[in-house]
This record gives sequence, structure tokens and C-alpha cells, in this order.
Amino acid sequence: MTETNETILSLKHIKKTFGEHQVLKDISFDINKGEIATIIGPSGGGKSTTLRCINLLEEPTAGEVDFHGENVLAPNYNRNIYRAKVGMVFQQFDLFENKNVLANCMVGQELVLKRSKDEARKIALANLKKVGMEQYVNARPSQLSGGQQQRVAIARAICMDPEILLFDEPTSALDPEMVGEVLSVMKNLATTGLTMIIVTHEMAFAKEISDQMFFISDGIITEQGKPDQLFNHPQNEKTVKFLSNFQNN
Amino acid sequence: MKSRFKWLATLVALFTCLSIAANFSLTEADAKKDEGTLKVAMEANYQPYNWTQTNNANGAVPIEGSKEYANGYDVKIAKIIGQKLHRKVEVVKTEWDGLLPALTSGKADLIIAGMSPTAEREKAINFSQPYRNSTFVVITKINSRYANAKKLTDFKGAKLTAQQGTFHYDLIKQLKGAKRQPAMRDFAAMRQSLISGTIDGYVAEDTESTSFKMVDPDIKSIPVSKMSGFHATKDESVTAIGIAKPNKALLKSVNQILATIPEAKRTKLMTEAVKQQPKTDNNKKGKKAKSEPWLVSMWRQYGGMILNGIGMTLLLASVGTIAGFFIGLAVGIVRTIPTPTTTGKRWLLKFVNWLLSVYIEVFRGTPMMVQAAVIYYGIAQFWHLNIDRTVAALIIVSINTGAYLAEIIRGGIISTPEGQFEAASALGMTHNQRMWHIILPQAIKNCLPSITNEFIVNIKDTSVLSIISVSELFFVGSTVASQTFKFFPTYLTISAIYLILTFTITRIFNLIEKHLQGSKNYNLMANQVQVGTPKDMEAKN
Ligand SMILES: Nc1ncnc2c1ncn2[C@@H]1O[C@H](COP(=O)(O)OP(=O)(O)O)[C@@H](O)[C@H]1O
Ligand SMILES: [Mg+2]
Repeated sequence: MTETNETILSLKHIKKTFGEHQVLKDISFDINKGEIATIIGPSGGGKSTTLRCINLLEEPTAGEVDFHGENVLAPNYNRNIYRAKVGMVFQQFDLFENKNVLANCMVGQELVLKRSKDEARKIALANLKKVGMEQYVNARPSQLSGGQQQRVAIARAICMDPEILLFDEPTSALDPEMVGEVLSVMKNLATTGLTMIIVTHEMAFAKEISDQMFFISDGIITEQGKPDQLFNHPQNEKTVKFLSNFQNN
Repeated sequence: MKSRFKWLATLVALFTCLSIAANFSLTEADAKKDEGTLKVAMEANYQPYNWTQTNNANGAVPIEGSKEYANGYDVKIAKIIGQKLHRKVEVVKTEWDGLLPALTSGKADLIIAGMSPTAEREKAINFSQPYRNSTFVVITKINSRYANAKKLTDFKGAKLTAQQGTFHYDLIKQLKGAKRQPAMRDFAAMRQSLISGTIDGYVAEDTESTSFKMVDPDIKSIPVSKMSGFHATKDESVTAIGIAKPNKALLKSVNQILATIPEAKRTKLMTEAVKQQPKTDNNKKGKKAKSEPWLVSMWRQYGGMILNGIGMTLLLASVGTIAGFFIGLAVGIVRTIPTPTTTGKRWLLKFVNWLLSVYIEVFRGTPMMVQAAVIYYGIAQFWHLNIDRTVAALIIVSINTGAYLAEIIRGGIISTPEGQFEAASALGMTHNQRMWHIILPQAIKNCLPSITNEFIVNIKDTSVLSIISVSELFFVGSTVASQTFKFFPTYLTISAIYLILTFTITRIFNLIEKHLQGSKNYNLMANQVQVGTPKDMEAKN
């Protein structure tokens, strides 16, 4: 929405195999600074693996991940600093079970960004406020609803001032009535100019928020473009079939 | 006198051969020993030869590393030897199976423990001339069918036993037709069984019948030594002093001193010992002690000892569990380090992991009792390091617990949900940061029930350390049982104490666990300024 022409991240011919199984066959795309990109596609198509290859939770088998033009897979590249700049929000929230809401948002700042406790707390509180969770600073993750946990997880990620934020189906594990609260936080975030790559099955949301969309199936990008193009003039029959499942509902 | 052919004797013989083969000189061990005191190993639990008492009455001598004293025929002989050598006698209280290792490892100068010089033992150590000859008897009840036995075959059908590991037990085979029962641990057990009627009698030597008669006039002893057809070798019917093989000079002086003690003097010393040995309440008939409940009088006499035993047990269990926890934590952490990228480091890690798994397998796969014997006596034998038995016990419990907790903690680390690792990685944390701040706090919390369990197990299992004569609760309990001859009530009291300890500790740890779970409810931070709820934000968009 506040897209620029400066490429911040580019994937070049990423391949990933697990044993015999080639999950990503050839994934390439560029993400511009401030861009909101969404990835859609059938389950098992390789969407999560693509995201995980971006922040190196998985090691790509081949290809390049360039961040500001530098290949992060190079042997001497500092991966921990890179990961701090590429936040991730997981399907299962994965808040630290041994820490309360506030500590979840502070620990990364203190350990990785070396911020002081006071500064970390100030930033954590401000971001918890952004996601509407400032009242729950003392709560343990297990005491919160799924929607609340996911909002804290988003706060935890943005406390690190990431340049890119990855979302892997952030609402798929939620009860339907909680989906809205998380999506609205994400929409709000999109207005701040943060670069976001979102894997989602929320088609209306994707259509509304995306600058660019990718359709990934069987480990390749079969279709990409503006939302209007993907939704209204899909070229690939797989895309057509996939979208029809949603429109029928 | 006792002759046991135990595996430990064989082990000691083996150790000795090995150490000679490896060119270790045992005289080195002798050289560094304190010339001032004469350290004499005995069970201090084999009346009337030797026993433990709480004060120094009747010329008792102190027991090394405790507040107790030892006395008995052996102690009286030891004192004569000490006097002539101008050395102060100190008793090294040691379980029977630990006696030979104590000598060969240099923890004691002499064994004076009612021990017979069997050929088996002579492979490992030297023996002096005998300091006592004895006759063998069958002890039975006065009204027993066998009370009037005149020849060996008169014991036909009698249920007989003897002390475990002694050749007394083999002698029963010479009483043709007798039904040999399983051997028993000590005299207290045999007396108890005779009184309760589960056996008809037991084979022992004359001194045992003399002392037993003092507390129970209703028993009878039937001498079998003189019966025709009975055969006992000289080895078996005499008692001698054990001395380490390289210590030829000491052997010579001990023999010289023994030669100066005439038979009459020996008999007198034995009679004295039998009179002085600790007696049970039955003996004080007519005195006011009779009205006092057993528990009260037992506690008055042994309460201090038992409290010390409880203290020792708690010390061993808690230090062992805490130290074991840190060992287990370190091992668990190392075993979950991800494979490094450089080849050199990868091999190093592989090697270290292999070493650690050997450690875990060995210490989980062998009984702590055997570990204690091997470590305590082995270290003394091969490195001539005389570590204090309490220190040895602490080390053994710690590394043993460490082996168990290492696997438990590794399991706790591995079973922490993958998402916790990934979320921490995604924030840019290093492996160490992930471990210390995210994974370990959760893993340890999840392991807490297992750690509590280890603590409880340690409270009970440290009882096996009696093998190296650490005076923990069980060791103290068996001393009290042997000396009061109140087997059942003593062990019942000891188990009650164990139960109270474990019960209390379980509750305390449950409270700690509960505390760590945190409170069920959280407080809403109502005083924080509320900016938009998600609903508001949606409206704004
Ligand atoms: N760690 C793994 N090991 C083996 N196979 C995996 C692993 N992770 C994912 N896969 C496989 O890769 C394929 C794509 O998975 P994923 O990227 O999660 O798909 P999506 O997110 O699009 O549903 C699936 O067939 C999945 O089973
Ligand atoms: Mg997925």
C-alpha cells in the first residue's frame, strides 16, 4: 500500500527437498520495501516451506535469498542479525510458555537487540497497546484465547522493529469469531509501511490488503500478479479451480 | 570366627594381583599413613568379638569418623598390640565384605574382626598366629526335640541355619539328615528366628551361646566339635589378625606380641567381653526399666545415633540430588547441542557425546552398591588416595544421580515443543540464548516431578552405601538392631522414619511445583490507558 520500488528481498530459484521429496521446485520472486505480498494455494503446496526458507528455519537446498542485495546463505553472513530483521508470526502462535505476555515481548529485544530493560518494556507496552493487549501484560500464554495469543505474537514480532514480517496462516488455528480481531490488527499494521509476506486462506482479506499475490502449488509459483488479476482474470487452471472452492462457499 | 568366601575377597585378590603386575607398591600406601594411630578394621557389630557403643565405658576405643566407640574381645586384643607398639588404637568400622579391601587399600593397618585365616583370604592378605581357638555348637531351645543330641545324626530333620557367607553354614552338611535352611545375615536374625520357631537351631561358636544365654536362659548349646565324625580344619577353628602382604615388619611384631598373651589371659578377656557386651532389656529384670516402653528406652540409648543417621541420609540425598542435577543439566545440554558445521568440531562433539553416553550407561547399568565399593576401595588401591568415606559417598550419589537426571533432562529438552525453538530462532536468538532463556526453564519445570522422584529414591537408596560404612540411617538402624536384638521393632521404627522423610519431602516439592506453575489467575492491568480495542481499530480502517 505504501509500496516503493526498492527491492528488499528476492528469492532466486529456491529449491528445497526433504529426503526424496522435492517440496520447492523453483521459487523466485522480488518483494519491494513497504509491499504487502500474500501467498495462496492448496495445502501441501509449499507455502510454509517458502516462508521458512526466507528466515532460514529451513535451509534451502539450492538457490539464493537476497536481503538488500546480499545473499543471506553465504557462509559468513550473520544469520541471527538477519533473523531479527525478518519477523515471523506462526500459525500456532508459539508464545514462550515460561514467560508472561510482557516478557514474551521483551526477551528478544534484550537478548538480540541488546536494549535495556526499561527501553524494552516501554517498546513492549507500546506495541501491546497497538494490538489491544496492554491489559494482559501479566497473563501467561495458556491463560489467553487463541486470538489474544496471536495478537501478542504479532506484538512480540514488531517489538524487534523488523524490516519484513512473515505470517504463516496466522488465523487458521483460530475459532471463527477470533479471526476478525487478528486480521484487523494486521490491516492496521499494513498502514504503517511495514513490508509483509502473508500466507493465508482469507481470500477477502488477501484481496483487500495485497499489493502482489502469489499462487503456489506443487512447489512452483503458477500465477502471480495484482489481486484483481488473480481473482478476476486467473490464467492458470489450477488457480481457477482453487478459487472456485472459495467462491462456492 | 567367620569364614566367608565372598566375591569381594576374590575381587580383592584380583586387585592385588593387578596392582603388583602394574608395579604399584603397597608400601607407599603404608608410608603415608599416620604412624601415631593403629587403625584396626572390624564390623563393630559381631558380639562378643566386637560391637559399637555410644560411650567409652569399659575401655572402649573411638571409631574413626564418628562419635561412637567400639569394644569387645577384638578391641581388647587390639589395645594390647597398640600398647606394645606405642600406637593409639582407632577402629575403622567396616562392613564384613569391606574388611579385606580396607586393608589392601591401606585404610586400615590390621583386621581384627573374628576372622579365620582361610586359604582363599591368604591369597590376598597375611594372617598372624591365632589369637583365639574356638569350639562349635548348635544353639537350640531348651525344650527342643534336638536339645539332647549326642551324635551328629541326632540332628536328623532339624531345620538349621548359620550366618550367611560363613563356613558355619557349610558345617551343617556334616550333621547328616539336618534340613539346611537359607543362611541368615547376622546373629540377631538367627536369634529372632529361633525364638519365633522358624528354625530349630543354628550353628555358631561357643561365645555366641554364652552371650545368648545371658539374655535368654531358655536356650541350650550342644557342642559338636567333639562329636565323632565332625571335622573342622585348623583354618576354620581359629581366629587370626589380618595384615597387608607387603607389611612384613608389622606381621612380625604382631606375632611377637600375641606370643606374650597366655591362654588364660585370652579366656579372661573373652569372659569380660561377653559380660560387657550390650544387653537387651530382658536382662534388667526387676529394675524399673521394665515399665518403660521399648521405643523410649531405645531412643534414650540410640536417639542421638539415629538423629545423626537421619542427618547423614538427608545430607547424602540432598547434596547428591542437587549436584546430580547440575551434572545432569550439563550433560543434557551438551547432548542436545546441534551438529556444528566444521568437521573438527563435529568429531569433537561426537567423541564427547560418546563419552557421556558411556558414563550414563555405566552408572545406570550397575548397582550403586557396586559403584561405591569399586570407587571407594579402587581409588585407594590404585591411586593411594584415601578419601573420606562421607566425601566418597557424596561423590558416588552425585554422579549416580547425574547419570539418571542427564537422560531425564535431555528428554525434557527434546520434548519441549518445536515451536518454542522456532519462535526463539525467528527472533534471532543464538543457540545458547534459546537454551537458557526459553527451553531450559520449560524443560526443568517439566522435569521437576522426576527430580523430586530422584530425591526420594536417593533418600531410600543411599542405604546401600552401608557397604562403605557410611553411617546413614540404615547403617545406624542395623547397628541398633544387632545390639538390641530387637529386629522387628527397630526396622519398623527405621522404616517409619524413612516414610516420614519421604512423605514430608514429597509434600514440600509438590508445593514448590505448584508455586512454579504460577497463580491460576492474572490481574488485568486496569490502570493502563486503554487505546483502541481491535473492534475500534476495525472501525477506523
Ligand atoms: N520437515 C519436513 N520434512 C519432510 N517433509 C516436509 C517437511 N516440512 C514440510 N514437508 C512437506 O512439504 C510439503 C509442503 O509443505 P508446506 O510447505 O507445509 O505446505 P503448505 O504450507 O503449502 O501447506 C508437504 O508435502 C509436507 O509434507
Ligand atoms: Mg502451511
